[in-house]
Parts: sequence; structure tokens; C-alpha cells
Amino acid sequence: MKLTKVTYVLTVLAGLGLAACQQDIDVDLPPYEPKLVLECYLEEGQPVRLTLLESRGYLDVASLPLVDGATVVLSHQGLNDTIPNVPFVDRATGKSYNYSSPTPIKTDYDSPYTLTVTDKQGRRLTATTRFIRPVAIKSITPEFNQNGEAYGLTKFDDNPQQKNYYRLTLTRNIRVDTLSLDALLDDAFSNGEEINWGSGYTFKKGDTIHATLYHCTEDYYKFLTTAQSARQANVNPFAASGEVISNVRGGLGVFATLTYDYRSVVIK
Amino acid sequence: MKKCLLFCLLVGSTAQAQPYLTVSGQVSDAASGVGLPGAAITVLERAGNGTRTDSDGRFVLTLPVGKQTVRVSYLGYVAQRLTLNVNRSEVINIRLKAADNQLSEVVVTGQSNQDKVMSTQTSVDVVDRKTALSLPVVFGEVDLIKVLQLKPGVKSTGEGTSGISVRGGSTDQNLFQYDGTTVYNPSHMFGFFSTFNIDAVKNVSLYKAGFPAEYSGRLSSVVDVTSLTPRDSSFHIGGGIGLIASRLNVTGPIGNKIKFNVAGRRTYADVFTEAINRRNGDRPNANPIPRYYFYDLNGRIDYTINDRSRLFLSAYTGRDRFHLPSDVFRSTFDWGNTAVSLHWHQTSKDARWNSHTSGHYARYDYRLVSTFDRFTFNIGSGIADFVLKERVSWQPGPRHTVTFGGELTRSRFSISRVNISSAKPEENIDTGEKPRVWEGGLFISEDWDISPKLKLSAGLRWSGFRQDSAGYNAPEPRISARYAFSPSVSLKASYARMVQYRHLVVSSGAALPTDIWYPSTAKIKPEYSDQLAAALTWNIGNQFLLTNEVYYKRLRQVVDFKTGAQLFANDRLENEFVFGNGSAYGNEIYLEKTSGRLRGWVGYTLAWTWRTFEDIDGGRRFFPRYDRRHDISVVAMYQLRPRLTLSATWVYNTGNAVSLATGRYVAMDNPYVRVENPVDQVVPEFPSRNNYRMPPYHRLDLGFVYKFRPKRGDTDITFNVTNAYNRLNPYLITYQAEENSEGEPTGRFRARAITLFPLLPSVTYNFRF
Repeated sequence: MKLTKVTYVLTVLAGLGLAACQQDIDVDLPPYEPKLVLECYLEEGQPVRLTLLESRGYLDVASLPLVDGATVVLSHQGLNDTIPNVPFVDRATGKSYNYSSPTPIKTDYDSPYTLTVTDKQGRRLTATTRFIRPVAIKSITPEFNQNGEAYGLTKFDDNPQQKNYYRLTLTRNIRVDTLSLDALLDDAFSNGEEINWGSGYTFKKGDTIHATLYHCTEDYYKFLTTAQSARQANVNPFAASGEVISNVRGGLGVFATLTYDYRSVVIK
Repeated sequence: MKKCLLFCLLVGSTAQAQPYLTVSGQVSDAASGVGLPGAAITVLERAGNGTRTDSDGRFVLTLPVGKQTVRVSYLGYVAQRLTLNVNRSEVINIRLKAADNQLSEVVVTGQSNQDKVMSTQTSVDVVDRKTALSLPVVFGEVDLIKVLQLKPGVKSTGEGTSGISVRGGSTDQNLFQYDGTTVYNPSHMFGFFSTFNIDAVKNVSLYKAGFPAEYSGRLSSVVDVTSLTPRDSSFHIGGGIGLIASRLNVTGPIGNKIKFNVAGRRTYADVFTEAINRRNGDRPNANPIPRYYFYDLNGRIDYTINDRSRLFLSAYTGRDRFHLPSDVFRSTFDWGNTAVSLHWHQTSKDARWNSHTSGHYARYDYRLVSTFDRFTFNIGSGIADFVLKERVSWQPGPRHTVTFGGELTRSRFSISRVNISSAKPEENIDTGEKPRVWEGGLFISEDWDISPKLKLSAGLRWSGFRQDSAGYNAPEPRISARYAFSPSVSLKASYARMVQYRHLVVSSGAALPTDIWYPSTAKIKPEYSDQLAAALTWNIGNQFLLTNEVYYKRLRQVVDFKTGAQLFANDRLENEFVFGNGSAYGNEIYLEKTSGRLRGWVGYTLAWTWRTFEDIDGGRRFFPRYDRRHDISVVAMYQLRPRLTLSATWVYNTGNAVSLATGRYVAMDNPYVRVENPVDQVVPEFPSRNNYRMPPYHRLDLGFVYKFRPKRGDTDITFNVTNAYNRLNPYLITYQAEENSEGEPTGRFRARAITLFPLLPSVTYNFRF
């Protein structure tokens, strides 16, 4: 009983100590010059979707600093397509963009796509990307534990001829929903072999598993992983450095193609 | 040029051969038999002649034939005069009695002021047990390495940690040795305590420049920790009971020829957390508190074969263990060092030749075993060394000492071992590298008293390294000189090259047990440093020592990691390294009061440290994290009464250079991935490496040691107050999203500082019977 009381006292003391160890402080940040941020995705059969905005000083007043009125040109095989400043809202996903082209993209795996952006202040961004072929999901198998919960085991083959980068997402019942699995992986462990990747036990009988396997370009993959590291570096003293690798010259963000295989399976 | 240097060394040595004889032996404490390092032996008939005992209290004196009178003295002991009839080489052992008003514990002091003036060695700091036991410490845990952090040129790598940065070097550029055995991760509790238990350690010497030729392997410093010599008079049991850990040690003789010392230390927070977990065991949704402890076990056995030959075995093992006893995510993380060495000291009949042969085994490893869901993760890395060393010193004449020897190391690395297993074999992963390497070195050096004013130490080390097809070798010249303007003022200068063949993969801004040692390969070249240092040393009335030292250090091929490097579970980690150069320069001023009731020192360092990597920040040079422009330390110990000592330390330094985001932007990452909280889409923008300077760091610690007068033995109680004026020094600055009264994000952010140590009192009870 005495020991229990002592432990309570120690716990309270530790709690008080930790509470005393945080404080708001004034950080004297150097003046921040906003930069253009580009995020653009090309996808077979979909319109060009592009968001152009500005970065802000970390402690600046909140706003969504969209940059309108810029000249955006997508170049491919010597043809230039101007992307108009027309907002686009994807009803399926609820995501919005401030530049879009009504012409659906037709995939060309052989030639690169280049984007050039010039805003009203004369700031210029360029970025290049290319399509890579999707990798097919071989199977999604639910695996049960004794509590009747299941995880989704996704299998696909890695191409040994090249370095491959993947993003595998799994959702439950609705295709665009909170992720049950969001894995960024390369083929370091299993070059040229079958890759098996499982989720947690987040499914049950009657659920539908929606699996999307993105085959990412190296640029896109590095942007995703380093952006993730930067977010961690902001709050974690043990995190690695927070520089983000971007394929956008003259600014921030990413210009990427989306190639993926999508499959769903109902758990019986 | 190299041949010329060797020729000069050997010719210079042999040219001094004269009909002198040597007298050798040991000066020790009469009560315990423990050798007294730094005891003065003066030849009264020959002004200026004499010597000092080494770290074990041993000495070699070269004298002309005939009657000589020597005086043997040591601070706190009754001096002795001996008349020697020198007609043959002989061994004598001298036992000094403690002066009446001294406390009975054998304390080991560093070099005397006079030694520091007359030695050729620049840039060395020696910290002894007595000083460490007198100073205030965090949580009451006495730590010799933290005392080193109070010396100029030595910086703590983080709040409260025992990691050090020496003259702009990174943490992996320090060679920690325990009785000559490498300790790869010399800290517990994620760096907050060093692995060196005060009950097992005699002293620690830190070399910052002018490295003796026998040392190599790291670019910036050598931290040489010497174990405590066991007592040979009677058994003693001692220890301490503190807030977070307790210690126990036993020392004494077994017969006439064997003596031993065993010391242990363990923390016990886990006892309380276990009790809480047991109590909460039946509650639904109770989150168990992790169980954590660390322990150290040190042992040393000395065996005296005869007057000219002795053996000792030194062993250390210590581990940290962290266990999360959750049903959902069960994890055990343990890491630790082992250091074992066997030493054989021999002295020739005429005592001109001394040999030290030793074999060493060093090991560091960490292992993380977790079970989550259906998976068992087994992750680990480690390194194991088998080392043979030989060091011979030869005194061809009264003004020459030649030292030569070599060492050979076989190392086994285990890097990024990752084993993931589940019931489904196709989900399993097994990866990792296990390189084996050879590393060795040969060295020769000479100390030459050219004249009473001028002394020269010159040496050459040749080191080599091989791993599979990759092999490297490099000369490492060392030279230092002292010119004495008077017996109390000298000017010294030194140059040293160091080569480092093994590199630490530091995965974060903090020193973690998961940091991995990685050998040089065909892609990863050795790192080099060249350092020049010059010092003016003034012994002011045998009470004060004033030193002003300047240094310039150039670093080449230092390593870092490319942006986005994959450091975890990577079979080809060498592809993630980037290589660059660095420089460090500064001025260190040090004033120490070495005697009297008030002792202590004031140190000030003005320094710059730079790094340049072609692949970081576009090749622009930047400050590493531990660059600090100003660094001040004030240390005072005041013996108010014979049994009451007060102490205080105050430190001030420029804040660390850290990477802090100055901007932010929104990135959805993928059109089809739904994000619950919009704040999760914010990406911080870090403009450059270490772009922000943290606020200045300053802290006052107070200590109070009261020695009781029990009927038997010694006991004392120590009170410490860490951070006495409760300065909240930021350890980390982070941005947090502001929320409105309904808990929704407002879209604005505020900066928040996390502090580790507010005002912290602690108490420790120490005993010795």
C-alpha cells in the first residue's frame, strides 16, 4: 500500500515536471519571401489538375494563398497546351484545383512531359516528368485472426530490370476514405521477386477492401518520403533533416504522373 | 623526409647513452597500497632533475652513479627523504602516509601546475574522482564525462547528455577507451549518463590536440578512462543510494599478490513502474508504463608476479533495457557495451625498458524485438573488436625516452540486421550486412629534453585498414615542442594528423543507441584531420594556472547523409553517404585555482566550426549543430569546514545551430488519398541546413557535500540542485497548430519550446566501510 502511494506521488511529480517543461516562445524568424508551390498530376483519361499557390512564413496569418492569373503551359512531343486558370473540383474525392484542362490526358510512355509556369510577377517554374507503366496487383487476400478480424495481403511482382518505387493504399468499403494502409516502399528487399504487403487487422467479414498500387517515379517517391520526413522533423528531435526533394525548378512542390492498378475484394 | 625523421629520432636517442643507472618503483598510499599518480620525486643534489609518477604511481629515475638524496612528495601526504647509493639498477617502493587532517579516501589529483607548464603535451584535460565527487550533478549521478564538458573546447551535444563535441568535431570523432578498450557507445538512457561508474574509475584524460603517437582512430579527441586500482591493504565496501540509481563496490586483497575491485550500478525506476502496471492490470483500457533500467558491472583483478612484472584483468559490461509490456504492441529494446582487457606490464632489470602488452575485446550492440499484429520484428546492429597491443618505452639516457609499438584489430560489424517474420512466410524479410575488417598501426616517438628550456616530442604513426578489396594506409605524423621562458611560464606548439577508418551513421540530431558504426569501403574513404595548436601556460604562484590556447583544425572526407537517405534496413548503406570538408578554429582561455579551500576554474572559448558538402545546400558552407561562438564555464568548490564542501557550476553558451522551418505550404501528395486533418497536409520548408540559432543556454547548478563522522568508515550525503534559477533552456522548438475553442484548427501556428530540465533537486547517500 505504501509503495502504491509512493508511486502515485512520483507519477504526479513527474507530471508536474513535464508540464513545467513546455512554454510558448517568441521565435525571431528571418523575413520570409513567399515561393511558388506547384502540385500537378497527370493521369490517363483525366484532365490536367494543377494547384498553384504560395508558401507562407510559418507564423504568418492563415490563408490559402492561391496564385491565379499565371501562364501554365504543358509541353509534350513539341506540342504546347496552355492550361487555363479554371478551377476544378473532383466530386469523387472533394479535392479542388485552381488550374485545369478539359482535355483528358492520353498516356505516352516514351516522351517526357514538361510544365512551365510564369506568374504575373514574372516568377517562373519548370518541371518534367514521365509516365511509367503500372504494376498489376496479383491478388488481395483477407487473412483472419481468431477474433474474426482480417488483414489484407496484397501481392504483386517487382520488375528486376529497374529500380521500382511503390505506394500501396488500402481503404475499407469506400475507395476514397481514411486509409487502412499507406505504405511507401521500394524494391530494396525483394528486387525482381514477388512483393507481399499486408495491412493491420482492420477488416471484417462483409467488408470490401479497396487496394490501389501506385507505381511511382523516383522524383515523386522522393518528394513523398522527404515531405513525410519534413513533417516529422518539425515535431521530433530524433528525426533526420527536413529538406524536401522536389522536381520543380524555381519553386516548391511536385509534378507527377499517376499510374496505378486498382482492385477491390469483398471479404466473405 | 619520413626516413629523416626516424633517423633523427634514433640517432638522437642513442647519442645520449652515458654511464647512468636507473632506479624504478612505485609510490603508493601507505594505508591502501593504491599508487599515487603525479607524485613528485626530486633529486636534491641535482637541481631541476626528477620525475613524476605515472597513472599507477610508478616511476623510473635515471641517476649518475653515487650517493643521491631524493625527496618524494604528494599533495596531502607527508613527504619522505631517501638517501640512495646508486651503484646498480634497483627497484624501490615508497609508501607515503596521509597528513593528519586529510580525509582517508585516496584521492587522485591530476598533474601539478609545474607538470602542466613543463610538459610538451598541449590540449589535455585530466579529471579526477575527487573533482567529480565534489561537483553538482544531475539526479545525483556523478559523471566524469560531464565534468569534461566544463573544460574549454569541450561542448555537450545536448541538454543533460554526456555526449561531447571537441573543438568542432562530431560525436563520432571521439575515441572513448576504458583501460585501452574502445567503448563505442559510452552512454546510458539515450545519452543522459555516461557508462563510466565513478566507483570503478580512477581518472579520465581527454586529449584535444597534440595526440601521442600511440593513439589514433578518431579525428577530434581521445578520452582515456583508467580503472581504479584495487586496494591492497584491507577489504572495503562502498556505494551510494541515489534518486534513480544505487551503487555498490567491493575492493581488497586476496593474499599478497592479488587484489581486486568490483563495482556495480543499477537504476530502479522500473520497480515503481512495475508496481503501477500491476495495480492497473485489471483495469480496461489501461496503458502500461514502459519498464526501463540500466546497469553497469566493472571488475578488475591485479596480480603481481614480481617487482618487475604484473598482470591485470579489467572487465566492463553494461546494458540498457526498455520494455513496453503492451498486449497490442510489445517491444523490448536493449543495448550495451562490453569491454574486457588483459594487461601485462614488465620492466627490465635496469628499468630502462618497460613493456605493456595487452589484449582487448570490445563489443557494442543493440537489439529491438517487437511483436505487433501478426509480425515479429527483430532489428539490430553491432560491432565487435579483437585487439592486440604492444607498447614499449626505452630510456637510453636521462634526457631521452623512446616509445614504440603497434596494434592490430580484427572487427566484425553487423549492420542493419532486419528480420521480420509472421505466420505467412511470404511476408518475411531478412536483410543486413556483416563486413569484417582489419585495422592496424605501428608507431614510434621520442621525448627529448634538448635543454632545460626546450623539449621536443616527435613521433610517427602508420596506420592501415582493409576490408575485402578496399585497403588504405596513411602516415600520421605528430610533433610537439615546449619552450620554457622560466620555470613557471612556457610556450607550446603541436601538430597532429589523425585518420578515422570507421564512421558513425547518425540517424538524427540526437545521439541514439541505434546509430550504426560503418567501416570504410571502396566508396567510403577514411576521414582525416590535421590540427595545429599553440598554448601559453603560466603557473602563478603554484596557486593558479593560466592557459591561453589557440587551435586550427582541418577536416577532410567527413561524412554525412544525402537528403532523403534511407538509413533503416538498407543493405547498401554506403550509397547514402555524402562526403565533405570542415574546419574549426578558436581560442580557449582557462584559469584554474588549484589549491586552497576554494578551488575551481573559469574557462572561455571563442570558436567557429564549419562544414561544406557538395551535396548539401548546393555546396554552401554551414555551421554544424554544435558550433558555438561563445562558451563560458565557471566551476567553484569551497571547503567551508573540514567535512562540508559547497560547489557551484555555471555555464553559458551560444545556442546550437539547428534546422528550423521558416515557411510552410500545403501539399495533398495524391489526389485520391483522403486526409482527415488539414494540418497533416502542411509541409514545413527548411531553407538550409542549421539555419536557426537557438537561444543562449545558461544554467547554474549547486552542490553540497557533508561528510559524517561514523564510528567506522566514511559516509556522506550529497544535495544537488540542477538549474537553480529554473532557466527553461529550449531543447527543441516545434510549431503547433492553433485550435479554436471547439478544438478545430484555426490555420495558424505558434512556436513552442520543449525544455528537458527545470529546477531539479536530488540527494545521494554515499558510504564506505
